[in-house]
This record gives sequence, C-alpha cells and structure tokens, in this order.
Amino acid sequence: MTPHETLRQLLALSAAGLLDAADERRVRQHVRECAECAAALDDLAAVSADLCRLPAPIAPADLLARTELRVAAELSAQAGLRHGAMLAVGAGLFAWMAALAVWGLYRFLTGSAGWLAWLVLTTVPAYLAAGAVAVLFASRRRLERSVL
Amino acid sequence: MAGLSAPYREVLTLRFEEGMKLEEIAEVTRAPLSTVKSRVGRALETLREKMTARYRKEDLL
Repeated sequence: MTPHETLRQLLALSAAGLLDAADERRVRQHVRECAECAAALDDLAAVSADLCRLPAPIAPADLLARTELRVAAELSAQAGLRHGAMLAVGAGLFAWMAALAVWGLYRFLTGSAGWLAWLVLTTVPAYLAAGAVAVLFASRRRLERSVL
Repeated sequence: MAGLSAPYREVLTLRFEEGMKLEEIAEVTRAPLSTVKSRVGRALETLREKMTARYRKEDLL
C-alpha cells in the first residue's frame, strides 16, 4: 500500500476528529501536497459537520409511560408464572395425598387390594382435573394478553 | 443516514450525537478498535458518496 493509499484511509477518521496528533499531522501534511485527498477531506468534513448538526431525535411524549407499562406487564407475567409453578407443586402434592387417601378408603370399603380399580379411580379424576386447570390457565393468559 | 446499515449508524450516532472517542465506542459496541475505525471510515465514505451523487443529480436538473 502506497503512503497515499494509507493516508487516504485516515481521512474519514480525521474528519471525524478521531485521529491522534501524530496521524493528524501526517494527514495535514499529505493534503497540502495532494489535491485529490484535500478535496475528499473537505467533503468528509462537510459530512461530519452535517452529522454534528443533526437534531437529536425527540422521544414521543408517552414513551416513558408505555415503557413503564410494558415493564410492569412483564414483571406481572413473571410473578404469574412463579405463582402458577407454586400452584402446580401444591396441586401435585395434594393429588398425591388424595390418591393415597382414596387407596386407603377403597381398601377399607371393599376389603380388597385391587390396584387396577384404584388406579382408575385416582388417575381418571386427576387427568380431568389437570385438563380443567390447563384450560383455566390458558383462558386467563388470553384474557391478560387482550387487556395488555 | 437511514440508508446505512445498523453497525455504521451505530458508530456515527455514538461519535456525532454522543461525542464518544474511539475507545469508548469500541467498549460500548464490544468491537475491536480496528473494526470501529473501519466502520467510521466506511460510513463517512458512504455518506460522502451519497452526498456527491445527490449534488451531481441536482446539478443535472
């Protein structure tokens, strides 16, 4: 790469005010001798000046309020998930204890230890209850999304 | 500036709106210093080419 090409690449950084003193001196010296680079530096300086004059974008008036609402909605959704997980664990424990109780009751009432009947008596209601809870949760999330 | 790709707009915004130095831009964008330098260079060159093309077009009209 010739010195001209090397310095040509520094012109934009010079126009942006991002060169160190030594490179800036090299650029200044080069543009005194090179009309092509001098013209390019003028153009780049004009572009930089235009960029400095660009007005800073003005945020919409309701941006803060909308952002706060979205943050609150996300926090609420996270809290809802934690609450749902705790509910699920509680429901699981309850189902486990209920199954044991039903087994005891079944053995007490029938005097037999038939595991198949016990399985049907506990599993079918448990699946039905789980399905109902899932439908309830899904409808609640749909409602939350439509409100937010 | 809207015609530039995001990395180029990013370095120009950080330089000309926020007034950051090369090292600060590199830190914020998590890019090497050499990458930041080349992005600033290419972004300004692209804008210069667009500006030149626009003036040429206006001259023709």
